[in-house]
Amino acid sequence: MARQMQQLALELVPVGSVLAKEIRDAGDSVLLMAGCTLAESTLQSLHRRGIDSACVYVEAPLDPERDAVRRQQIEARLCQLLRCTGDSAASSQLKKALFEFHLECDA
Amino acid sequence: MNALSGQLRMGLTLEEVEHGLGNLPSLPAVVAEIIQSLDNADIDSRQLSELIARDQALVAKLLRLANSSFYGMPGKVMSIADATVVLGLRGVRTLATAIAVSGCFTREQVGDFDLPQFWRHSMAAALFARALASRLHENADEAFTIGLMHDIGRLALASCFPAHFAAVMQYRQDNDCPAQLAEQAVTGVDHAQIGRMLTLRWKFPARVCDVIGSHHLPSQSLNPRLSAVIHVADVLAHAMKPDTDPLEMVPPLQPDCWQLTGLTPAECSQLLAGVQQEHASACEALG
Repeated sequence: MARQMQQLALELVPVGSVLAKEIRDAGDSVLLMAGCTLAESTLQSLHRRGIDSACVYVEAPLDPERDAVRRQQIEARLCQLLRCTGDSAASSQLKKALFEFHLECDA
Repeated sequence: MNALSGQLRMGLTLEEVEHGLGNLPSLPAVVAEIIQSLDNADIDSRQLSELIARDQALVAKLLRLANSSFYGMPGKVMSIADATVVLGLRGVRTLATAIAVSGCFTREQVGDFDLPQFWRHSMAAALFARALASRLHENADEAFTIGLMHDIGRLALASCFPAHFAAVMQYRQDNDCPAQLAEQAVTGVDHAQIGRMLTLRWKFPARVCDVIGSHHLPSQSLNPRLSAVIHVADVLAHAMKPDTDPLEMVPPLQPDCWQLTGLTPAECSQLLAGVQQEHASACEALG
């Protein structure tokens, strides 16, 4: 299984889901930050405030081909971004950290 | 890297930079006093509240910030005294400074310079700096302030020397190199040096000026630990940017600075995720 982001209608969001992207109101103020766990009362509160959907993390079956493509895309992106950081052990560790971060967050 | 073509060479002497910085607006008197109090551990909340209360525009912005979702107490901070409870004494001083400095540069002054993008990067560096400073038992609020201000020299270069700044951008495009190398090649000075000169002019504490001036070369700093924190914070803030700008690159990472943080790849990945979560509301709070 792999964790993926998915935009769901609010009534389809399971209680206990983790928010993948912040939720803003009509005035563009942040109501909830990414990473919040959505309790039932929070979902009700969002509904009262006119929010009709939320982007949350869902567990989905891992598609090996799609996963390989995504890993290649992240690798290419990091090679471009880190093109002048050198080849020290520190740079390798930084690249590894960024790879894990993007793998988790850009799903 | 290509040899620098003659038409791009637009050298600046330190005297010319100093003269150019003199054209920037002065900081409000209240802000100058707050900045000078940054390294005064004896100031109390009453003194600070009285000082800030003399500038009502600053009071309004501080209260808006303290009531933002970033601090998790929306609508509950009614006064500067309340803000010192929510943000802490050092936090109020730090944010008052940040608000004042960000207000010194308007869109009109900086021309084509991408001001929102600049502050987004600065805020990311500030958040990383605060987290890394806490990890290394350094002053987290001071690190936050310096993180927010570390590239202020770029803003000053764009504002005071727009033709030089345009030449630097062209040089980066032609040579695909980090900003500080392009600045050195075109003007002979870089944004870290200019930032140091500007913050000295604004009478920031000497430690702050030193670290801003050495964030790309922390080994030359008089405060190498704090400078290393800002260096790594800057690197991480560049690394976290969305890949929409083909010129974007993470600046060279000094291995000893990375080692000082003691971050494992897994811890660093968690730190990136944590800062990403805070970043949007922090930027919104600064406005």
